[in-house]
Amino acid sequence: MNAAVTQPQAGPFLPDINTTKCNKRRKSTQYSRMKQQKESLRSSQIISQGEISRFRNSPKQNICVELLREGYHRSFSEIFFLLGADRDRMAPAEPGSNLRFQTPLDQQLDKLETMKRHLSRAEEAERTGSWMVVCDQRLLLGWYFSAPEDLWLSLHFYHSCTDRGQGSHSRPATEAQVCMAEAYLKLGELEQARQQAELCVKQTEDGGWLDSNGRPLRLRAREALWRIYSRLADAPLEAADYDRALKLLYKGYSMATESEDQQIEWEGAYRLGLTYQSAGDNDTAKQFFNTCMEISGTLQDADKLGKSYKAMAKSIESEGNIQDTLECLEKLADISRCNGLQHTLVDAFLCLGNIYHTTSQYTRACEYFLQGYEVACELGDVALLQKAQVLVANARAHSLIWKFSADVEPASPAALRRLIAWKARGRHQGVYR
Amino acid sequence: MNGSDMSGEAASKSCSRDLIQRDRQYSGELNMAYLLMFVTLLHLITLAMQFIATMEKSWWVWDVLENSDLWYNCRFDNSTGTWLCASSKESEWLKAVQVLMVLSVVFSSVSFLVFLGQLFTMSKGGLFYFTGLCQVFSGLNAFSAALIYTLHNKAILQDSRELTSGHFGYCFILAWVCVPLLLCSGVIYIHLRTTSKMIPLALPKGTDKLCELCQREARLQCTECRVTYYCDEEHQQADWVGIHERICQLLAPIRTPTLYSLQWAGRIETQLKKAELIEICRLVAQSKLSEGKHQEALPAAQFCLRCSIDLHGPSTVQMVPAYLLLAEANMGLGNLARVAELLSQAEWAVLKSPECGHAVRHRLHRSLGRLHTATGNLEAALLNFADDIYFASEEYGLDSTVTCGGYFLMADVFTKQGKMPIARSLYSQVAHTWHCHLTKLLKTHVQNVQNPDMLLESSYDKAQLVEVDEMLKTMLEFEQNDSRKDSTQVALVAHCLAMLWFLGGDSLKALGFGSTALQASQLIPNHDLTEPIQGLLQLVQNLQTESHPV
Repeated sequence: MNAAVTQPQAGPFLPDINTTKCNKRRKSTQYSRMKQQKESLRSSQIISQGEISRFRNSPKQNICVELLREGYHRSFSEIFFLLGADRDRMAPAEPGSNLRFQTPLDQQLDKLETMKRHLSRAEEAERTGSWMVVCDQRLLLGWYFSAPEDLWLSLHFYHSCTDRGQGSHSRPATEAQVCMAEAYLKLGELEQARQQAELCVKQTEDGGWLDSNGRPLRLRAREALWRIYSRLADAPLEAADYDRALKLLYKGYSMATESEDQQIEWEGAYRLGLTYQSAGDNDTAKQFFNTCMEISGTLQDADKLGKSYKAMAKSIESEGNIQDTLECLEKLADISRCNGLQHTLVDAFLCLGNIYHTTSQYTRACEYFLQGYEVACELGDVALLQKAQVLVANARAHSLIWKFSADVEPASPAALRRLIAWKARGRHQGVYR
Repeated sequence: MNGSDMSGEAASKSCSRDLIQRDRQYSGELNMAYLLMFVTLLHLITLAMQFIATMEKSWWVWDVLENSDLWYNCRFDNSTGTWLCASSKESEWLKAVQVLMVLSVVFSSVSFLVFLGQLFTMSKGGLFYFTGLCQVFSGLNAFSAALIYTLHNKAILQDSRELTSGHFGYCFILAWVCVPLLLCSGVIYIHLRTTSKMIPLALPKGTDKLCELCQREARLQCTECRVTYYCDEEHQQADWVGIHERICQLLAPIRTPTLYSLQWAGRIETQLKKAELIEICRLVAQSKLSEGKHQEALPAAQFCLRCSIDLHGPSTVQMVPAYLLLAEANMGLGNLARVAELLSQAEWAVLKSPECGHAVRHRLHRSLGRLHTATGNLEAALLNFADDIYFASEEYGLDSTVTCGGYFLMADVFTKQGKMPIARSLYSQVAHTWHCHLTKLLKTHVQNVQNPDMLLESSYDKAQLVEVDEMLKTMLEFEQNDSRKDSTQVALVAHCLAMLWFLGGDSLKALGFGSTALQASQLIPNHDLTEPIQGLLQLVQNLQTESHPV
């Protein structure tokens, strides 16, 4: 018979001899006990057709057949289509590539089960005409497939949520649009992402909808759009097409300001400033850096403040205003020291040293370089350390040479005599100290 | 107890029926045996009579003392007490008579020898034909001989005395008597040859022949091929109409064992021939089934099955199409028990061979689903249809019309269960698929019409047309009886029907359905069906004006 069926207890095998009913018990023979057991076996579970097919057939077949049996034929069509698409996607992959190592979708039972559950609910809702539920279920499915190799599935579900005729202006559909924009961004398809994000922004202009995490959709949409614009601007920047880049970054910045998120506002301003700097327009850049500094002040973020100062310093330097640059850099150094931002401190010192070096104030340059070197030692950053060392040595050497380079040039006898005297006396003491 | 009583009654009833049948059989066989004996005796007697007529002396007798025959004129000499004979006068007529009589004797004896030889070897074909023809020929010879003698009597007996004093002798009479007897026996032989009745008792030991259709003891055989046997006229007629007419000639080489056929090369050849036969039977059965003639399709399907079992073995995967065909034929007739039996065997064959393709599985599940629908086991029917749709999608794709057939059958079950929304959604899916398919066909048809050098193939034969038409009509009815009138669906289905009938060549129906579709399409919010429908109606009207120029 079936190994899966366990023998239920029919009763004690040996009769109990100590009871008062022992006479009656002795009458129950082996035969009657066997009959009892047989009856209970017969009434116990025989494996049904469904269970047999669950063992015999592939998981894909089981899911499809269950869906069809309950009448959800559109869900079946969708799942079948997706499994076919997955197979096509993996078929041309070369052996050894990443794609080959992924398990195909039709063997991942949990994903199939989830799809089945939600899609059947969606179809049920579709039949009764409740479009919100339909969109909701599809959105859930879109979220479920958040792993990088399932992004295409996730996108499919988001699209199916937003592309239908009815219910495409509901809250779940709009949320799906934002999620889609983010997914496209992850995949790197910026144009699509932009389309979706712009649509979403339009739809959420008046809405007070919240997404499933409780965040207002309006803000989330704008943040997504800002990110997209930022990424879109990367390409023109590399090609040094500043106009386009600036246009995009401006759009992004306006989105960022609307999104009421100070962090991304700062970033937007910062990038704009940097772009203006590369384009050569230092005034506007400085304006934006000022904005950055304000924002970082409100945010109490010293890191950002440091970055803003550094950028500002660079701007001022390109303008040629050394004094202001020095001031700025000193402020930067102070801030970093106060807030324990060692790296920035090192950077600040090195920058200061550089400026003094360029203006031939080698001793001061040396000092700063030395300070930078000490901080780098504390940090333990070997590369930085070595850089500082080189700069220190460079500055020292220059400082020494500078003293007698004035004498070398005229080549007058007095100068020559001084040079010889210095050489004879040794380098450590002497006239040129 | 009770069960065994009833079975005892039934057993006794069948017993008596069998006895009556056996009686009839034996009486039939005895009749045949009597006939054979009779005809042999007749032949012998006739042969003897011919001998006597040729050899004996009394063709013409004057009186007791003088007679003449074909060879001599004899006179009894009173004086010596002996017969004095002189050869007859040579005349051409006499020669003719002599030759003809001799020939008739020769033929008769030859035919008798041949008859004996064939009777004892019972070889196929030619049995009794030769004998009968020889007999008839010899009869004709005897007839001409006697006629010549009668008519040209005077010329033969020239120099004898007046003919008025004599009369024809007994040999002459015998000769005349032989003629009808010979003809009769010849006809009987030929009848024995052409009758399909055979004598099972005369068959060699161990070669019991069974009826082609019911596998009971056979008493008739097909006169054309001589290798097919039947138990009665009814079965013979049914088989002839069903399949035997097509394959009569092909059966003889397969069913007669020759030395070559027992060798390896011969066996291979036989297998190829059997495969051909199976294919022919399958096509015939399918065409009959699609026309709806289920009873007629039975012999073909049964033969296909039996041949397949011969060729491939009882439970192999190549058997499954034959099982399914026979099951469909029986389903049309309503023998659900037989259908269940056949389908379970087919299922077993499929289970045993996991490598059999999706197409076979889908057809098996479809048949099982239809069986369960017919028996009322709706849950099992749904399960089977689900499997059918799955395998059909794997094999033919989601948008194919084959998968659609599965959807349609499933919708039927859901209607029976009362789940109308599901049925509605399934019907709409079917309608969409067929609409796309038919639109494509129409486009190619129109293009082909415009290039007359491309061959116009009718993409659907009549039977498939009828099937699809039925399906679409059912769906249209369903929609029209539905409480919430879904105009889109009505328009779609009506449009499909119009296109179908346009492609099938019936303009009237196309117009009718087209107008229904147009009406319904006006009610749809976005009128994207109106244009194609109007285009189709235009085409149909053009065709009508072309064919009936007024």
